[in-house]
Amino acid sequence: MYNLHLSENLFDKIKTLGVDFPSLINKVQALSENPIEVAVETNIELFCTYYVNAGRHAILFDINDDEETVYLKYIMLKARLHKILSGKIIAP
Amino acid sequence: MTSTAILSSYKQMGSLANYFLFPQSNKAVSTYKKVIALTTDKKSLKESEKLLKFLDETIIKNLPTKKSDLDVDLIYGQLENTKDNQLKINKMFDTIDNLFDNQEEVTIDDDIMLLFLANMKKVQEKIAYIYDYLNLVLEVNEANNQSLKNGKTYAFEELYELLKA
Repeated sequence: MYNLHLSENLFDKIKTLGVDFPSLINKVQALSENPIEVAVETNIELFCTYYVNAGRHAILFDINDDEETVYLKYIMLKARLHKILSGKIIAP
Repeated sequence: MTSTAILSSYKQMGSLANYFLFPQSNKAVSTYKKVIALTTDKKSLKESEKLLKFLDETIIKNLPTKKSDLDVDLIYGQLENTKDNQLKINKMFDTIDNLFDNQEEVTIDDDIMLLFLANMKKVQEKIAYIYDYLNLVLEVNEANNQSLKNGKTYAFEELYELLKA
């Protein structure tokens, strides 16, 4: 089991969003159990090393294996993250 | 190309807005049968092509990706320039919409103008992408700062209890 590190702001955001989007909390649990299993690489260092989809949202995070800790950093709309990461700028 | 050079060249992009010329717009706009003779010239079309190339090859290819690229002041500067250019582009399309006077299904009767507008739509989307990308860099940076400043470590069960409280 990994510990979870997060800021007060992110805690508040998860708490608020978790009411309407319980899959968000389920995904946080999955991250604590086996982060590598659900992690997807962003390939853009500035946006954290990994993300995971959680319903309509995506969570950006880093993993510190030595500390057995997942550093949850940011939650955003999944569609926005995927558009930015894919670089598919022009709408079809 | 260095980050400073990117910023400098990006500032120059604003001057390209001067090429959004509609030299004959006053006399050529017609609402008859919803056909608009809105014209431009080949020079403006060429400039719109150059602008697209500039955005792809100078800006988008050089967007910051690594932690070593993180210069918050520079990124704020790039964001402001992007916002200025976004306003210019949006204003251009607003001006055209006003010329149409809220009519639907309007046809523009000029091939060069159609190509120019298609290019400028792409420019608009690329600028929106750059703006969103740079914003996300700053948002994640702020999230990192918050994590360092007031972050706490929890076991999931402990976190779950607090989230449900």
